[in-house]
Amino acid sequence: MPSLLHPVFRRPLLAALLTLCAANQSFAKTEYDIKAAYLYNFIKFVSWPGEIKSLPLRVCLYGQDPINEKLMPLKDIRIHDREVEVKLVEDIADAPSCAVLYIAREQKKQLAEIVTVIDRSPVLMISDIPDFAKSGGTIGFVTLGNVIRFDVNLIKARASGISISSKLLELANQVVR
Amino acid sequence: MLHIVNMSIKNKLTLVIMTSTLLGVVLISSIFVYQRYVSFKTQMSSEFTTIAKIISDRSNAAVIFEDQNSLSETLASLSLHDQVKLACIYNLDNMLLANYTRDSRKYVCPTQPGKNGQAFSRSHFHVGEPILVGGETHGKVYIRACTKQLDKEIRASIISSATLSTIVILGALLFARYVQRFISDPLIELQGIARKVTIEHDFSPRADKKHDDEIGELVDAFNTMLETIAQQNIVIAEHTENLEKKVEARTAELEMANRELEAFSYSVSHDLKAPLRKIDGFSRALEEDYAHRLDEDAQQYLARLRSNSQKMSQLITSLLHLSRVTRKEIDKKPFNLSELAENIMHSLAESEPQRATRFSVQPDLHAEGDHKLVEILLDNLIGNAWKYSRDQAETIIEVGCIKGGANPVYYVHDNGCGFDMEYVDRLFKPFSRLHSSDQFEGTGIGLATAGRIVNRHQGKIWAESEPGKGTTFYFTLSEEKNAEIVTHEI
Repeated sequence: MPSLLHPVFRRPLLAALLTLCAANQSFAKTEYDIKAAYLYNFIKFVSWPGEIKSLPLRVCLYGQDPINEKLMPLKDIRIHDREVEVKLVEDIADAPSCAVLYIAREQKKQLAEIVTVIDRSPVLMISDIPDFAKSGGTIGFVTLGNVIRFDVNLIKARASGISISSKLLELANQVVR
Repeated sequence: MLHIVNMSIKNKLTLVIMTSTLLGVVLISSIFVYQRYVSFKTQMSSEFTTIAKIISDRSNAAVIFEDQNSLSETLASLSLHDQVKLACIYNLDNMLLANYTRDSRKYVCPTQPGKNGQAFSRSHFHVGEPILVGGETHGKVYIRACTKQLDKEIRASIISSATLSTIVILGALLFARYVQRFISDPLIELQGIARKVTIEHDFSPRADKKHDDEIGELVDAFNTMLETIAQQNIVIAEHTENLEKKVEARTAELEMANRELEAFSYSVSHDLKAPLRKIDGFSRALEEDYAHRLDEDAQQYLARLRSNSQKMSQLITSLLHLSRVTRKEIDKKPFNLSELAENIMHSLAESEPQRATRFSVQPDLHAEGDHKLVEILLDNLIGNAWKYSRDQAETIIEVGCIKGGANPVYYVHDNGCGFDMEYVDRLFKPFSRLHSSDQFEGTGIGLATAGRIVNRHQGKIWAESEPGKGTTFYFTLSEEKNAEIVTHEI
């Protein structure tokens, strides 16, 4: 189902950037492109407490991951009428000020520590670490066969004050309540 | 149009009421049906646009994440709405992501979605709505609904308005039948009575006034008119009857008086003649037998006696003529008037051979009338001319005719002393004279007799004269109206 024809690629600017970045990684391109597009679309169906339009919406990347490159172009677009700022986080202590935190698969072992640091901060944690949603993350990518889906931890989202559209919940593979 | 003009008032009224009702009902029904149609259409359009918007909103996330199962479920809920026949969701590349169809053979999603917006086709309503996420278009929903319900509603409203119209028209027809009675019935009654009056000349029937409207007033006026005519008829009849009776009575009286008068004058004239004849006879005997014994004075007296008795005899003869003229039946026959006039003139000339005379009679005057009476007439007129022209050096008498129209006007002209036209009225009255007996002897009956003779011929007689210049008498012997006008040609 998900393919290069995904709607997100129709956005000329984003598509061009994504294509440029994924020039010599033909397999990974498809998977990470889709995940990057999913992340971009998640933001559309999520709202944060006390959002201020003048402040940029900060998308933080923690750890090295092929998706990082794909997400870089987001800094040139606006979501929820806010500018997007893409930032690589070195120190996890800086993470609570992010709106979105993408945790690289390589950070799997630090997951418990990260969850503790974030605690109840309104940070949408996304990762493709297996069982991410069950382990205290907010949205975790899952691969079912050749289809990419996602799980949602509603308890975590509620605890951090983030509200997720029911439409998104409907599309989720699993919702932790 | 002429057909309508000649219709009875009854039908005209019905026609007027029915036409206006029909027009009104048709107009109102059309407006009603049209408004219902527009309202149903608007309602349908708004209903399915809303449905399309809901579907669009409900499926925006699923479109983004291309979750076709979720989209199919969303569309499947449309099965609850009978009118929805087809629904399709496309992504930005116009690729079909999900569809719903009530009948897969009849309704198939178009390969390309149409434009956004609403449209009605022959039997369907089409709506296209964009699928938006945060103001960005991510796809499109297309829904097709059948308009059978709309058609049904419109048909129902046509039927109901037609039913209502029929009821209204029937009501109007009954109303027209009811109302026209107040106008046409009294008029028909009036017409019937008027016809009866015209044909039977019976003025007794009266129209019945039913209401206090203009027709009621007309009925009143009609009745009053009949009443007036009837009363006047009675008065006229009475007058006529009275008049006839009066005329009869007067005629009888007049006839009686006339007869008595005639009998009286005849008997008087007749009876007077016998003793007069004796007076004359004895006077003559006295003159002839005892003249030598009478002195000159006595002879003079005797001559006077005789002259007067002769004058009286003439007077009586004239009176007898007059009364005979009145009583005698007219016996009209053609005769030669010239001959008659010449004879009279001849005897007159013989009676006074010493008088210089110039007589002229137009030859061959063939007239028609009572020969004997016309002779008396000419005798009188020519005699008068002879008498009144005796003082002239030469007596000129002319008798002739002016040929005018069918009725000739005869005239007797003289060059005598004439008379003043002021006294012309007295000319033909008995015993009235314009000259004294000392000037000209006469009885005063001659012209009266002449007038009566002309009258009895239904003719006319008149005179023109001037003192010293002579006199002309004109007369006709039959009825003619313009006789007088013709005389001016002389």
